[in-house]
Amino acid sequence: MKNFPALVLIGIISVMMIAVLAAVFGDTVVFSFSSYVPTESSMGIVQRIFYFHVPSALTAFLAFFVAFVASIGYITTRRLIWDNVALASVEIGVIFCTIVIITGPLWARPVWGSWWPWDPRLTTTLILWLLYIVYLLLRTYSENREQQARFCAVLGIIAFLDVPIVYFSVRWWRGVHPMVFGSGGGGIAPRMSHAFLGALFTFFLLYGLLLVQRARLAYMEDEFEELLASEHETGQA
Amino acid sequence: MKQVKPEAPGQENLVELEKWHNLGYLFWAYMVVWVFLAGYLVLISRRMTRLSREMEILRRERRNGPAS
Repeated sequence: MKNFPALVLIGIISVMMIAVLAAVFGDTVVFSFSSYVPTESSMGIVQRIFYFHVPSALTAFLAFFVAFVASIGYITTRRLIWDNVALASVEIGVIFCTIVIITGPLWARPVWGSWWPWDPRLTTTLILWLLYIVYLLLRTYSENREQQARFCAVLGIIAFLDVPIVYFSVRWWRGVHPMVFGSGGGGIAPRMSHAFLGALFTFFLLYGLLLVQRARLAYMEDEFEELLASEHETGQA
Repeated sequence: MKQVKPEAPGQENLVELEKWHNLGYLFWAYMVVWVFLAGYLVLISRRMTRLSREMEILRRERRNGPAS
C-alpha cells in the first residue's frame, strides 16, 4: 500500500469535487434538485463558469509561485530536487493556465459578444502561458542535465514577474475584464462565495496531489537516466 | 454579482428561460476542465508505470546479466 496517502487524497478530492458540482449544477439537467448557488441576474447560467475559471487561474498562480521558489532553491543550492519540483509545478501551472485560457473565451462570447477582445488581463495571461510553454520547450533543447536545470531556473524566476502584472492589470489599465475581489471589486453573494471557496480549496488539493506525483516521476526519470548511464559504462568496461 | 429575482408573478417563466440560455458554453467549459485534469492524471500514472517497469528490467538485467 505504497500509494495509500495518494489514494486517500484522491478520495477526498473526489468527494469535494462532487459537493462543489452539486452546489453549482444542482438545478441543471444532470441533477434534479435545487442548486446551492443562485443564478447571476445579468449573465444567467453561463456565469457559473466562474466557479472553475477563477480557481484555475489562482491555482496556476500558486503553481508558478512554487516554481519561482523552487528555481531560487536550485540556483542557491544546485540540488536537482529543486529543479524537479520547479518542473512539476510549471507543468501543472500550464495545465491550469490552459484551462483558464479556454474557459475564459467560452464565458466571454455570450457575455461580451467576442471570444477574445484583447483586454489587458487576457493579453498578459496569454504572455504568461507562452513564457511557461517556452520554459517547458527549453528542457528539450539541452542534453546536459545541469545546464538544463540552470537555464530553466533563470527562466522560472523571470517568467514569474508576469504573475503580479496579470493580477494587477485590471487595476492598472482600463479593460472589459471585471474586478470581483479586492478594494473596488464588485464582490459576490455569500452562497456564491461558499461555492467558490469550496472549488478553490479542491483545486489547491488537486494541485498538491499532482505536484507530488509529477515530482516523483521527474525523480524517477533522473534515476532511470543514471541507471542507463551506469549500464552503458559497465558495457564499455 | 446578484442573484435572479423575478419582478412580477408573470415573469417567472421568462426568467427561467433566460437562466438556461447559453447552457452549451457552460457545458463545454466544464468539459475542458475535466478532460484536461483527468487526461493529465492518466498521463502521469501511465508514464510512472512504464518507467517503473523499465527500471525493474534494467535492475534485473544488472543482477542476472542480459536475457539474450
